Amino acid sequence: MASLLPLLIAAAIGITPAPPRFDAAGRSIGAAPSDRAASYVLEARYDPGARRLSGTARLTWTNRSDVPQRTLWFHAYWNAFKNAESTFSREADLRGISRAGTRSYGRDDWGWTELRSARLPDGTDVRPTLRWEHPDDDNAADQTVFTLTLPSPVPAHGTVTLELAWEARVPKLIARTGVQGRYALFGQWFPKVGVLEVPPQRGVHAPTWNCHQFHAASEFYADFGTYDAALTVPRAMVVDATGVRTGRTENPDGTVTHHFHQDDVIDFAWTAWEGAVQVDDVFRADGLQEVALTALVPADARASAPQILAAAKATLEHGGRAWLPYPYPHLTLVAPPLGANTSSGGMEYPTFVTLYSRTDPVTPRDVLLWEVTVHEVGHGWWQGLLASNEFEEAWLDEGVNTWATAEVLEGVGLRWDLAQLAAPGTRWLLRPLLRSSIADRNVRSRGRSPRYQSPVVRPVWLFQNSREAGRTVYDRGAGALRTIAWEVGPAVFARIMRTYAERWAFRHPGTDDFLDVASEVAGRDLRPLGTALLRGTAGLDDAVEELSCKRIAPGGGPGMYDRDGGPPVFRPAARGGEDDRARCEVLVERHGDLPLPLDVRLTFEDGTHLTESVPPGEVWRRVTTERPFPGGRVVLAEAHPGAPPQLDTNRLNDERSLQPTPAPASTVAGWLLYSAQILSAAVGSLL
Amino acid sequence: MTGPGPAVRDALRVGVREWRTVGMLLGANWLVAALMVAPVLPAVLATFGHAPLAVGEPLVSSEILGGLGTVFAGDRALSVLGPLVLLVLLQTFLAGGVVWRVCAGGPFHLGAFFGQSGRLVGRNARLFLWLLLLLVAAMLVPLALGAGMHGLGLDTSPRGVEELWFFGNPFGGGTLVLLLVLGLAVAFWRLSLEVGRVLLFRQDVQDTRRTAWRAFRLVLRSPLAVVLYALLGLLASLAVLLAVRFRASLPEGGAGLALLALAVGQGVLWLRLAFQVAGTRFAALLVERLDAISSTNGPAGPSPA
Repeated sequence: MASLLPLLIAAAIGITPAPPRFDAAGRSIGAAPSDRAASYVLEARYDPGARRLSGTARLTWTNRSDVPQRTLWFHAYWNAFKNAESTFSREADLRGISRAGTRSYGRDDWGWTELRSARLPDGTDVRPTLRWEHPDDDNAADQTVFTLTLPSPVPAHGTVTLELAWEARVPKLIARTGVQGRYALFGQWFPKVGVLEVPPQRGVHAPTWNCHQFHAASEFYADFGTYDAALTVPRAMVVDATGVRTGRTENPDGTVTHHFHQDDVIDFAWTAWEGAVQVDDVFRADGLQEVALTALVPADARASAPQILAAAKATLEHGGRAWLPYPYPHLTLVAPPLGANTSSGGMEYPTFVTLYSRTDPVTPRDVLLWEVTVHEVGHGWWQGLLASNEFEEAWLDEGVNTWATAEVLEGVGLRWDLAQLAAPGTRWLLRPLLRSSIADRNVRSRGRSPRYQSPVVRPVWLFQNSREAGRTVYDRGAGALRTIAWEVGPAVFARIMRTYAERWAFRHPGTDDFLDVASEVAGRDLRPLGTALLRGTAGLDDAVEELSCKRIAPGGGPGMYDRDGGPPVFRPAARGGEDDRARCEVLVERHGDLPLPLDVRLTFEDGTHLTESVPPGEVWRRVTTERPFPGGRVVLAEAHPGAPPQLDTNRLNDERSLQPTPAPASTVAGWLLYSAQILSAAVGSLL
Repeated sequence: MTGPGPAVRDALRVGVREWRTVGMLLGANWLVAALMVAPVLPAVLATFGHAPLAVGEPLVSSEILGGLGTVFAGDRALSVLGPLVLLVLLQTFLAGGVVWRVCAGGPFHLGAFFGQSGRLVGRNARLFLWLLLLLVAAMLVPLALGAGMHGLGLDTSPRGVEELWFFGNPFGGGTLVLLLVLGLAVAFWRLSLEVGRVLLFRQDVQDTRRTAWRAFRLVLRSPLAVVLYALLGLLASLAVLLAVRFRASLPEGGAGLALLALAVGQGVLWLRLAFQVAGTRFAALLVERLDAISSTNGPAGPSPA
């Protein structure tokens, strides 16, 4: 009866949800939507006093290939925090990754994980075969990837079960995992098998293990499976996790074991947090699956909860209608306590995301809370369901989701107001100065140079630094999608994204898979454009560099002219007549090499237009017109009239007017002068 | 002899009355600011001079901010260091004239203003250098306090501030205490500098080291004056912040509006500089008061205010 209640309520208020794909225990209804190549039964006990996590994992792994596999690859992610010589620590140190650094770690802050045993069903312990691997670099000190060799291979399409036991020291909060005070977040916390990629998956020609080390700027890659977890913590701790809560057992030693289950997800994360405030809600919408929502917020930021839930619902609604109905029955939204937002907020795991909390959120809609919530919930599609390889093709998650975030925010009419970023107590002062209304897509960097350092598709640890990785993967990835949308039109693009989501849900798409879907839906080959956008470094900055008009007499300007075959005769300037002409020149330059078509539209004073097309590859063009004066003067020249491609690095030079525009020039010059005066006065106060 | 309360009132009155002196300081400020901005003005005109997409847009908009990215592309930047060095020189020069105005009063003569500025510039510069030592010492107090608070777990580290700024409230008890101590330390140092300048003017002495020391001791014995001076600074800050806020709330988007904003901005600067003159007047009154007490008590030296 209890399970019918939500449906009855929904019916009473006139909402008809879609039938669920998973039951109230997180088990799929009907055929399994994923191949469940790696499934886990997890048991873990957390001792906050000793910062120790001990557990077992019964892994059931299926060899999806046609080749027997004797060696299995695993991640031991927490060893990234073991010392300063791990690949993670080295990269964070060298490349200045703010929330990933172990630089400030003291003696008790380091964390690690240690595999104690790995037993086959017959009791054979293969732990002695453990061998540390470094597939990405020669760092022998790194212990984030290991292999186990079995006595006999797992046959093609066969299955093996391994009972893994491990002990871990929980690190001080870092890179979205660890402990801070009474708050603990557990991500990538158990020995996790790598992905055996099987042809034609992501273009591999033979079964290949894809199991990268933990890098400072990278996220993860995993197979789908079922997860069943029993998590034991002190009674005072509030616990929530991936999937659906299936039970709660009080233990005689003052601990509680929390049970969770979810089928067809790629990972399992959880939090144990003493003092968290739990706020429950339900998402219901016509034709979409019902999703139970749980927000965990700190007590002093309880005011954040309603907005977090509202933003999550908006995303579920938009994503459900535009991309794919969100299939899972439960979603946990963790807003970390003050002091833990930058190091643990803003991370996605299946059906479990971390966000931000603000003690004084701006009402009615705080853009910081909304943006991070929309973004992290959006990952539920672009990583949770379409489980791309975030080590090698991070844009398929972050870039696509950055695009998706902007779509949702635009759909609910929310724009960036930088004044909202000001701290309480300063808002009264800064609000008039920072008030703004900027679309999310426009706060993303397009870069300054029309040539980039790296292609979008690149292993994340091979970018110059974290800033370049972020700009490229998030911003340019999203820009690439919008450029394809600009090329094919919004309706076709919407169909592309929906088809891509439907076709690749519960699988592992690659960049080529996306481009194949895009080409198929658009009805033309978008691979060359996609390759240029995603695998090249060419950018785009189309600019109207010059626009000038000259009034000339009908026969031309002054000078020596032949007359009736005789000697040249001087003819003076004779402007001012009714039949004078306007000779105008427009210079358009293409500073970038991205092969996109360019239309240039000239608007004449009499309201007429002239449009010229510049094919890809032509670097510049000068357009000259001569028409009757004054109506024939070109008053406006526009590159990409209407809407330019998103990747145009300088939008402002896409248009140039004949008449000066003193308003923006004086606004900027006046503000610069005023700022310099304030700076001088501030320094002068000390003199 | 002026009491502490009336001294503040009198200082403010002089700050308003000495508009010509404030004008001199504003002129110097303009010169320095113009030199800072000059290197990027051609790029501003090139970027925004024929840019219809930016017409009608406020400063904080993707159009204008995106254009600013172009203005500051490559190595192009505001020229800051050189003009600030000039500011130091100019303000050190003008300090003598300002002290003359707040001490002597009477009609304003440009020649006399520059004359006094020139007469005292060398000594004012040396005095400033001596008192930089005091500035270093004064800053050690809030630094030590911040370190102590950090040690006690009252996080004042930049990472903590970042979290507090975006997600919490940076103005907790610890931060306010730190700001209070910082304000008092700055006020102590700044009042010492002002008093030193007044002493140089009134006593026309050459030994700036001894003057700096005397100024330091005078201020040290006048804790109430330091507090009042700090309150004057707080009043100045609040007034300027309100004016800045008013200026920021003006509509944007047109050339006329930009000029209006610039004009109002001069009001902001005027306010700040008037308070600066008022501060110097406050120091002059303090010295007068201590001198008066000293002459009443005989050669025993000044008493606390």
